[in-house]
Amino acid sequence: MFNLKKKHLIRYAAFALALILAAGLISVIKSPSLNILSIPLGIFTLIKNESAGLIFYHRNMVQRQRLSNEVMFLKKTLNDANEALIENNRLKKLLSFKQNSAFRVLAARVIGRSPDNWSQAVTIDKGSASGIKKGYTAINYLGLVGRVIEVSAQTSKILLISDPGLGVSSIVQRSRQEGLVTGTLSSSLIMRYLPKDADIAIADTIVTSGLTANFPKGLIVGAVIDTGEEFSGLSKYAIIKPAVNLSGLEEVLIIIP
Amino acid sequence: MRKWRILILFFILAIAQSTFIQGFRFMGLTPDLMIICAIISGLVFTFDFKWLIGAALLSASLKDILSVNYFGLNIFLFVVIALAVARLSREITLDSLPVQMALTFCVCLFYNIAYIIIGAYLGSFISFGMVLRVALLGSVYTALLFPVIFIAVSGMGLDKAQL
Repeated sequence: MFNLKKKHLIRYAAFALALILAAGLISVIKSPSLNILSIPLGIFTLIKNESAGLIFYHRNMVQRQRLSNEVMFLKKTLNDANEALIENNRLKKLLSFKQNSAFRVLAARVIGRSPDNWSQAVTIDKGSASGIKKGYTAINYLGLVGRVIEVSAQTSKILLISDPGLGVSSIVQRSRQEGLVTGTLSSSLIMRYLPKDADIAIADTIVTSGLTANFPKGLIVGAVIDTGEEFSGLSKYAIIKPAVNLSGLEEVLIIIP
Repeated sequence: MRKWRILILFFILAIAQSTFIQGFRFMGLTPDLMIICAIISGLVFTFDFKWLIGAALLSASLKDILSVNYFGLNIFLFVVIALAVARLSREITLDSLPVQMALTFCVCLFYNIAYIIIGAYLGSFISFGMVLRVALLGSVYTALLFPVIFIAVSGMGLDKAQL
């Protein structure tokens, strides 16, 4: 199939070298290219969202009605929570507890997603110009989203918790049992390294433990939907439904430490 | 001028892959339009080496820029894919859609296996269950979408016979 004369070999080697150089060049041009691509990505996302709004008009109408009812209920719950918070603050002051400062967050819009099936990442429309740095944590109002892994001036990439490459040290909120949550490239997460006798049950809430760098303690990761024993029989695992709908993510909040 | 149109189409498909196609997720998987671009480069620019490499490099670099890959991994894989498809296209007839779909499936499988091997070498471990799901189902999904893109390319007057 291939002619392996000396002249051709030199040509193939030169071609392979050119490819290696081109591959190396990608990391250099990635950041400025992403800044340029953020414009068409933003336009396409806008068109996609608007067309989805038209296509799913009826579903949105029903959802809006349901959410209005939920807002009414949540307003009442929030009021109760505020009362508890005021009481909590008063008691903490009495006990001279050191107060932790609240998170400072930056809102950003999702303008693109990773084009391959081997990683779960999103591109947002804010970058280093807005103060975002590599390693910052991304959340939304429901819970943990992921971590910033690449930053350019106008855009950033966030590796979602559903990516198997991101491990988050987490605990079961009820029993304080610790494990490591990683992604499965699907809609669920897996919590591993739980002892065989771990106190974990279906519907338990999983929160961050604060042991993974930059992930503040107490962020909701998700809820347990199934548990089982590892193949080795030495430890247990739990399947977790993320608190955040990662496939329908439109906005995120970046925690600025 | 027609040849430039194919590059514009690849650019649009790359942006669509990051936006529109995400709405067509099935079991967490999306069809890979960029691999289809690499295959189409091989099929359309069979005898035009410069354009073949140019089109493959464009789709590869767009995928590398938009994804969170290791270095410029797709630069290597896409160029190899485009060259192999062009070479195969010279040896045997690849004109019928079922054959092209089968080719797309095989190419996707090759791409996914290569990705896993390189990933494993670089220390990124993916469990066997995930590998099976993504490699097999993802390849089938991409192969099923191939005719739609190829017919669109032909419809725009961009197939081999017209260039």
